[in-house]
Amino acid sequence: MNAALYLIPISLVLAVCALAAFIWTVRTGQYDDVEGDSARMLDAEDKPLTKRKPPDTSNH
Amino acid sequence: MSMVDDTLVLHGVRCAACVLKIERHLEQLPGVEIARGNATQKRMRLVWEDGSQSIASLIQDIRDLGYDATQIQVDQSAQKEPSLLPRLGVAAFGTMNIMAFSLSSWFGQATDMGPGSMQFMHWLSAGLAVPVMLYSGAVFHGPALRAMRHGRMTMDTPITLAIWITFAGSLYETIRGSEDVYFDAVVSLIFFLLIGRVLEQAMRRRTENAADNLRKLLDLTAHRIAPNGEVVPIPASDLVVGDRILVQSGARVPADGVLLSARGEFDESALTGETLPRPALRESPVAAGAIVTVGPVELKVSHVGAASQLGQLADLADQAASHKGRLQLLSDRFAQGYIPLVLIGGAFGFLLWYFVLGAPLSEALKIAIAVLIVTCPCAAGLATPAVTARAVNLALKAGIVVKSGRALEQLSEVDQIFLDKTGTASLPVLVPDAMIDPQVLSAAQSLAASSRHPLAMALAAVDQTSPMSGAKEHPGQGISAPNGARLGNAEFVGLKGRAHTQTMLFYRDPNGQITQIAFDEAARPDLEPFLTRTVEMGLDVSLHSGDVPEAVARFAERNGVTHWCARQNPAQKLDQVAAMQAKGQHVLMIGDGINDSAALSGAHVSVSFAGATDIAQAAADVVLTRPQLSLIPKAIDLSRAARRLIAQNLAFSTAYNVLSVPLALAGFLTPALAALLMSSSSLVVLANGLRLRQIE
Repeated sequence: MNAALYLIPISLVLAVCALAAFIWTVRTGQYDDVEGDSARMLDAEDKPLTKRKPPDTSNH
Repeated sequence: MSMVDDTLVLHGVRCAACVLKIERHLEQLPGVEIARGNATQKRMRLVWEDGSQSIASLIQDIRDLGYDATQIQVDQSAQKEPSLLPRLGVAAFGTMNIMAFSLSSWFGQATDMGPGSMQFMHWLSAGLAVPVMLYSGAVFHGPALRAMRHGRMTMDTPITLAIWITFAGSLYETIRGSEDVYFDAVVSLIFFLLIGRVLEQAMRRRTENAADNLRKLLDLTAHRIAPNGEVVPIPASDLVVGDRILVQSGARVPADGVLLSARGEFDESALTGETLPRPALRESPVAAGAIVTVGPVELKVSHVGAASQLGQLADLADQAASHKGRLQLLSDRFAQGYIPLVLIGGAFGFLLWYFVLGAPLSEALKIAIAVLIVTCPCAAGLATPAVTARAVNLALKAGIVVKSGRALEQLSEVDQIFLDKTGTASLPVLVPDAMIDPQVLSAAQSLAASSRHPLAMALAAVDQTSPMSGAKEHPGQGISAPNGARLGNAEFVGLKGRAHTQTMLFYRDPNGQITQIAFDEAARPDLEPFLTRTVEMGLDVSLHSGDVPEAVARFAERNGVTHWCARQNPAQKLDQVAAMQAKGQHVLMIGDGINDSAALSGAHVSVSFAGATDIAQAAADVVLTRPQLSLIPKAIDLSRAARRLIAQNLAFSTAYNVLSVPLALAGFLTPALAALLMSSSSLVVLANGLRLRQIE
């Protein structure tokens, strides 16, 4: 029972984090286009999220 | 450096790959910062440096890829219904954790858990259940309370009662320090019910979005031709019926109209899904939203805005979306009668066990709660809407707009099909009689090729004949060739005293032999597969036409229709329908004309299509977005499948209630088990609806 006294708070904190992460994904519109996003990962090109980053040329 | 942020509606986009293709293309253009498409909404957000690109050039780029786009004003101020996902998340969070605590206290009862630890678990569960009750549960008790204030009950009422009584009862037990609490049952009930609501919301948003995108096709700049011949650009919404407008090649037609130019060609894919451009001659109607492929053309406006075909199509799509609302209303009406029974059942259970059988208060309360939860009419309430909503949506995807759930039901009962001829079974295209000697026909065709007369053009068009050299056209009479052959009306070829009908030509070969060339209306290309399929399905098809008996007989014979009636005026068509229905038959009427509208309204169920007269479309229960007869057997198949599933669902939910209510009253069900049964019965009904398959 002693173990439960600290394990329960830990599990609750973890669950709250997961809930917060889920609400963040909803707020940032990550479920707005499930159809497009599921296909997007098949898009072979690895591209940075914004164009502001200079293209990585070190491998070529 | 300032940025421009704009949203476009994408047209002609069929899947996510198309969206990605457009994205990739636009992102590599100079100055474009963000090109982010949404394949679900068929929209794209574009951010670019001011001056480096213009909205027109970007749209042109999308057109070059073979798609189209229109600008859309995203109304930021518009109140968007907030997503239910966070509420579902909170319910999931509560359910998972409370389940974990319940599980340990269940095991604790069997093993060595002390009363103190048990109490601790119960209080933890109670604490976790509070946010779920207040935040996630508001989806149910919010509307239920609003309805109650107006003295009404909805489907949400027993759910609200069940969850709050269970919660209050569990809280009471926790304070009393008893062993059994049902916080897990409450939160999992909310969680399961919310899953259904979230799916419903997603479906509704999709349909509304589709209707919105369709309307955007009308949001254009029109070029009005002023009486002095000057062309003035004005917003399409300012057009009035009767305006003359000019539409350039590649541009979208801003309003329904009649072609004033001699000829034009239109891509109507946005309206009908038909990818081949449709050629049109002077006086032909042109629908708003069509793209001019050969132009420029001049049009006279006949319908604007919401009255146009496209506007009506968008309204129909909206109706299909709000259709759900009507089903909800129906199940609410059902709830009005049923819910008092649920409440009486719960009260009866409590009174029976507390006063008659002398059970302790907590035991009696538990039974009452189990009855309330288990009889929650979700499965019965969902039995029909779960299937109908899916069927209506599947039909809409295939281009079949079913205006009501009732129409879907009626479609499944059809055993007679009445088909209008002109415009429905046939196309407004004439083809020469198939019985003519091929040699004579080809000679006549080479003469006809040099004329612009509609009948001559119809004759020559059969196989592209090159015109005979030296042929001379005699306007209003016919064509003569240097070798003495003649093609024209009866008098022109030397036949005296012959009645000449509109759809007939005469050919006289150089030897003086005269052949009569009659013309028939061309059958719709899918008339034959339609007839074959209907025979397979055991449906009788008959042709009902206002045309003269000879023409109807010939058309029927050529296309293998055995039953036909000719010279039918609108009232007679309706009488035929009524007579057939008096015999206990269910008639499906298919028609497009004003003369069909009475029969369309009188028939058990009726079908018309986009491009038919407004009155026919208004009278019909089902409207096809493309004029394909072959969609009709598919729609009937779908409705029959839907009906089978609804019957299964109703049987299942009845059986569920018949079995579960006595069990709950007898005290065999705990509230937790009752919640599990209730949720799974709803899920079974929903899953059964998903068995409807898409129309290809």
